[in-house]
Amino acid sequence: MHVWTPAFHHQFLDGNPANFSAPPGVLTALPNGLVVQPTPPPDQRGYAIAPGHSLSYALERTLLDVIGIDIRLDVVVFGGAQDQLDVQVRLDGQAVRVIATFLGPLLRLQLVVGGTPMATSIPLESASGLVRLHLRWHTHGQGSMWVNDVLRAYEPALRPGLSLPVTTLFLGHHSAMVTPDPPKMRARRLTVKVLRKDDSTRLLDDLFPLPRPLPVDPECAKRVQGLAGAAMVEARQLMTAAVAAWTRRWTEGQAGSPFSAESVAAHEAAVQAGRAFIAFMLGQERADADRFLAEARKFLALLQTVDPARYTALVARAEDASTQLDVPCIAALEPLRRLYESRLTPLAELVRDLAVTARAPGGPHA
Amino acid sequence: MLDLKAHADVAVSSAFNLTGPLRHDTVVQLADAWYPEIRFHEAERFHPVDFEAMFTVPPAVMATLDEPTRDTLRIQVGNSRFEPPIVRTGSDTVPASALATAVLDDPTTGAEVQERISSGSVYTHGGGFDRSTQLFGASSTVQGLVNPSPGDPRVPRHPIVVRAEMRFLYESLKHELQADRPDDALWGRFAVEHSFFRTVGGSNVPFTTSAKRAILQRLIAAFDAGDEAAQAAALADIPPSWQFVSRAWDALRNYVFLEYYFLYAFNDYLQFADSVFANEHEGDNEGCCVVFDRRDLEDLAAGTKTLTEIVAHTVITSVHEEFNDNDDLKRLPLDRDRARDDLVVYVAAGSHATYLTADSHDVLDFEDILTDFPGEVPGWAWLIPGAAPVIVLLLLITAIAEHFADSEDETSDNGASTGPEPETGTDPGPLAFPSRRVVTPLSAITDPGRDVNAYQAALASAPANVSLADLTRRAFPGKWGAHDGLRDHSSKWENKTARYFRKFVHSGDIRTNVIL
Repeated sequence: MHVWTPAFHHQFLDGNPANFSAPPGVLTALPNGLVVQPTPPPDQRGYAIAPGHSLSYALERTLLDVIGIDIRLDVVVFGGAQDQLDVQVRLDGQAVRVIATFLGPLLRLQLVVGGTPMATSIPLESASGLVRLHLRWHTHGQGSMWVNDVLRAYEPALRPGLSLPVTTLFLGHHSAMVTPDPPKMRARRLTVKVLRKDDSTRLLDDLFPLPRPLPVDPECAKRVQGLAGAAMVEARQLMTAAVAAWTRRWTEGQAGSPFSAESVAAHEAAVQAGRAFIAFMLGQERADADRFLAEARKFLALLQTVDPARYTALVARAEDASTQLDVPCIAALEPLRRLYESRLTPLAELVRDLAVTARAPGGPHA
Repeated sequence: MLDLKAHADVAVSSAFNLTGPLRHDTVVQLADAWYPEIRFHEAERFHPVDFEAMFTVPPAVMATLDEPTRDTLRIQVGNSRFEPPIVRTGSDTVPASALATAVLDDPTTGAEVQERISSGSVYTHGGGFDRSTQLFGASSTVQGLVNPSPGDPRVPRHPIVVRAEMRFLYESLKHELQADRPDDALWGRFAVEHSFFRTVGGSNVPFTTSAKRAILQRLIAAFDAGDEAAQAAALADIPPSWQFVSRAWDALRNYVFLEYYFLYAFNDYLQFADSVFANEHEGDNEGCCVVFDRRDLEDLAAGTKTLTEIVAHTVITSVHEEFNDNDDLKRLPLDRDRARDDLVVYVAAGSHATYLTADSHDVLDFEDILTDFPGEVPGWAWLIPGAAPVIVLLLLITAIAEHFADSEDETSDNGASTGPEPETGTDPGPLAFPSRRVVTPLSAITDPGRDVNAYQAALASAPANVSLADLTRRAFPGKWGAHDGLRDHSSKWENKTARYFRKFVHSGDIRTNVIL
């Protein structure tokens, strides 16, 4: 069970460019094609990053409604103080681009999402060696750059609200012209994960799987999904506002942290609430439900302070949408409901308690 | 019920043999020669034991404890308390005393125990982290400390034992496809029929599993008979818009797996993971697979190649569940010494997922991305009675879940390790621990006295070099763990041949035969 899902994972463990994991698709390796080379010594492993060298992967099925991208790229650089070397990762043409340029012991790192860039420069200890890049974007506007496992730059408003399709993936050099020079950089690992609009809803479904399809009237289902979808859009807008309010643009070297005390508290409450909810779904213990409600209350109380009017409207809209779940058109579900009654009862109690909490998270029980 | 005598009779009648022309003693030599170096994380508590230890360690540890402590480790079943381990099947509980080696080894009492075991049985030594830790867990480090650190790992509590099993893939599929295949963990499974056929352009023409297996059966029979016309006839029955995957056939015919199984008493990933998506369970079966070119091993059996001329081809590891599609594979260098040096696997702390590098590894799962869940409401949300504001819950959890840190496995170069015996005169250092290989005999059953097969132990004229207790434990068809009510991922012991095969077909460097 994961929310973010992997789209491509290559560790370059041997001389076979096709030794990777990904959903079905077509791999293209330039300039040598998919020729299997004998496994080189460990220090020479990795895919050569040089002019004309690239790996491209075209997925059979486009990943739709992608609202988050997570890219990890490990490269080993053999550069000198005067060398300028670059490596790029591109998704869906130019829609998402990572450009890492090594100017001797200085790394210039760019993440471009939907045409909007964020960038930073990072001094490295040496012009050569292993460098681990990690970049993440989320539709709430958060862009993050880690180098060697340390956060180096953060952006709170990087293309908020964007949703995009992903079909292709590219790793290589900006130039397509092959040169005779030996490569001065090798990719050691590339992992790309995506978050799609409905991945978190799927996680909730996975926690209590039921036989599908459910006998729900199609018109009823359509109406509820429409209401839920609209509420989700508003929820994302509120989260985007929270990100903007609680975090700030930051690059390494600036004073302070990009994350306010409220954002740290909200994150911690969210993580604890998530843990408790999963434990509750697995074990149906009331203590886990209580822990979830307590942490959810903290999280919602903080969220409410961002924009009280919008928060109230969102809760009202969500409650209105929820009433649609109980209309007669889902009467056919009654046998299924009876079948799972013992497990549903504590879940229903938790949901009702959450409703009370959500209406007034900062209320008398806070 | 488990009837190993009947299973052995089937093995004899079908000439059960998974090691082709190789005799068991040669398999043992290969298993020693290509035993990977295994590096554990410094914080690892549970190191590999084997089936035997799962039964013999708990009584041995219990005997060293005072009565109050012993009582905390007894397992409550109904109104009775049992010494660990037990095997439960429905309301029947086989006590530890009946699971002793001497009892299982005796043909009469062993058969009585077998009658009480089935695929619905569950082995347990307690079903929780604390109990497993008391019985199997490492408690102090090399330097005698409580908390491990890089370079000062926990010392394995019990001798490390790794099980090795060789499977010639072609023979394995033949025995998989036979109609009277016994249902036990030793016979195992190699259900790879879907790897041999693929659709062209998303065919809607049905092609059932049984039809695929029937075609493979005919193909193998025709191939054994050298009847090319019959091979072509078998392939001609593939439905329209489906095609045969020659790459899978090449892998089947040309390669041999030497599988190394690491059986852990407990998976305590929950102790390490900073994530809600953790797992924890008794009885954890992990490991890796060393691939050989079949041609080399046939030459070895024929005496035209020596053991030192054999070079392993590829190594594959198992990482969590196969459906995660995250197993590691590496083609080994062509040079023997370099291939040997490169044969290092890394065990992740707690989860025991096995990797090929020391690093942090995202716990990846490629399964979900293959399906869409567009705009759907979780199924259970429809079932909540009353006008409950389920959507509020969905929005909240969505907001939370998307920002979770990912689960990670950690592997390390700074923990305990084991592997091939060090060369004479070399010091492996304080972090290297000895280990024993147990090689499951899977060679020609019909040649007792000359060759060894584990099923021979259940025959009326069982040779002395096999043990009915070993066979019973290895063939145990039930689950290798109970649970504490919260998490239950304990599974039956299954050989990983099929998942290794699928990974090899997908990512391996496969020698090609004439295209069919």
